[in-house]
Amino acid sequence: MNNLVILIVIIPLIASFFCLIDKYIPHLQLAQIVSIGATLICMALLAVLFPPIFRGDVVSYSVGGWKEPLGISLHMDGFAWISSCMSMVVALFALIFAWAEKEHGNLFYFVFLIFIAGMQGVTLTGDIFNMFVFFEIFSIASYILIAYEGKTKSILASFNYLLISSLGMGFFLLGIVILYQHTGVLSLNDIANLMSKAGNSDFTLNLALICFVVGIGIKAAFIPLHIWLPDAHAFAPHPVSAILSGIAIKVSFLAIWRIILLFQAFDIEHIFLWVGAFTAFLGVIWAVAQVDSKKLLAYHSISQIGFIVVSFGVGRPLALDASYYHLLNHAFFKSLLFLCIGSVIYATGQRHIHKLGALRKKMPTVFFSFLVGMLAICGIPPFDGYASKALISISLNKHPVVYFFIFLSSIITVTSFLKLSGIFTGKPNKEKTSFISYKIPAKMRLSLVALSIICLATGIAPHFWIRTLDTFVTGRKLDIIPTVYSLHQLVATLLMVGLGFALYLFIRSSPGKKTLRFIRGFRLGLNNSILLVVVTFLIFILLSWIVAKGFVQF
Amino acid sequence: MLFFLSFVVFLVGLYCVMTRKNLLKIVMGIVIMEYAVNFFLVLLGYRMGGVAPIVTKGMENAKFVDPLPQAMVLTAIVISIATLAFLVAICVRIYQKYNTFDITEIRKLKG
Repeated sequence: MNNLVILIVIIPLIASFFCLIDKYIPHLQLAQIVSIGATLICMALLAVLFPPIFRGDVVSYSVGGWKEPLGISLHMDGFAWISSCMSMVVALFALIFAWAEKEHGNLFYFVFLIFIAGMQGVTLTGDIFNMFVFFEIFSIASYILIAYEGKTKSILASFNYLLISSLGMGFFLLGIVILYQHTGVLSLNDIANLMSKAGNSDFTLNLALICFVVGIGIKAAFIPLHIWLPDAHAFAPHPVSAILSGIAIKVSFLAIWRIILLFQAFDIEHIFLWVGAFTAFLGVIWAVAQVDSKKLLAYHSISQIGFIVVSFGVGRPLALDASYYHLLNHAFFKSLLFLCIGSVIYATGQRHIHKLGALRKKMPTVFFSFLVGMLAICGIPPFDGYASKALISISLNKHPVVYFFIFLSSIITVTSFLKLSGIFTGKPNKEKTSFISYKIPAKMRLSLVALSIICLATGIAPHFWIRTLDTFVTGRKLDIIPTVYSLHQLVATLLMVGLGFALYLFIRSSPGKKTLRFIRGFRLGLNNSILLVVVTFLIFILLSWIVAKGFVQF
Repeated sequence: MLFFLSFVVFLVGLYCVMTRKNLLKIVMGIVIMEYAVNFFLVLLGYRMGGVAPIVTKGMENAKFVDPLPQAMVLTAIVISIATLAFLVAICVRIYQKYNTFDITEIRKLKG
């Protein structure tokens, strides 16, 4: 049983080797079949691991037989199990979509599988330096995947991401160094034990943790560290955008989550409450200003990460469950939306919102899947976004100012998706586009429909899902589960939709368009964005010092 | 003293990354920063007057340097070389498209 844990990391790596020899065996489509097979095998292994995990056990595997303080261990607890399942499901449908596109060679699948293996490693590992190595594995794979199509914009986006992210990894390594100097061990559990014995109000520990938060935070992309994200997610190939937005930023954020909760750094956790509020609000403002359909979705990823981070910052078990629930839902509906827009771009060859229109009749499957994703991200019942957003608002009942920001961002989310849905409902396009055909392949349709069904399934019966997440994420701490479908929440949703529609009418008018153009023109260069990362690091140090000294009470 | 030096090297790299306009110089800045961190890591493992941690007969009680940071630095160097190779490859591709390494020029051309 214990060996299964390492197999989840190793099987994608072994399969990636078979993708390389695909070139010598033509017409078999070995790379595609092997990569989908590898994800299916990993899902089967996860299913085998389900009973002990559900009982609350931790399945551990020591690499090379060396026990924890000396060797490296992989731990599979409920938290890691559910994260691992989430990434496997999204990866499977992204792979099926990539197969249907028929544009990618075997190298694409090779890198894609290494990417999956890296993310599984980050989720499972119990050793801080090993986590660094897995982070680098999946980052290098993601740089290659973003630049894979070889277009100029995607190469530049990959370059920006690479530079900013190497800076972040430098910070991460510095954090590891500080912790190692302090404790002399590298395993996460041992560091946490030693630290709690020594008392955790130490400035050195805080410094190390801030190094981790900034270093990993660059990949998780909350607001001061988000600059690489829109370009990278918008100009990557469509399945890669789906998996980057759906999983990669989540896995990075879950690593921060695990480190902070393990080291009981509640001071830093409270900083996240405000970081999240600004992330949600500013991200969505930029999103509504975009005219590139994939860029709009990419900015929405930032905004939705804000929702997740806010709820994490509250820190009570209910809020943690709400945060994880939204994270899970966002993984599904955002990858669904990216794949929908991807299939529209595949069929029409056009990605500008105003140059597309009236695709509803021509592409009904894509339209209905898009509708599911759109209603989910806006938080309309009975889809999954409603349940998790309602839970987040319930958990924010002691922080009215933050709730106000979150409510504003929900309104603008509705507006921006009304804008994006113009590509299906608006007037038909006069310009001739170099489209292939309006019919999309069956495999593409399969992955869209399957993800829509998942979105609907996680939204129906929210009580069941919250109870399940409570078991896996926080370990059965919730006594009562608040009702999601209360009158208060439903009225708030109705108000949100109404205001969103009113705002949509405003942005259609000429002063609204001028405002949007102004927001769109506001972009940072590479030098400035690196400066911003360093400044963020200093601000985080200052904030944690202020909170630790007790000058400000949250 | 040497700790301070590694910090200075780190700042030199950071300054280079933040102010230069040439893509290759930015890449060099990143490399200098990574090396500063590696230097710091090796320095932590060093014991004054220590020997290499190879246990042979008669050497059981000698003063050893800490081997773990060295292993970590080796891993980090390998990773940073892979990243560097990819960075330079991307720089070459950008040069082929735009005929310049200047990021302000590239932004203008990109529009």
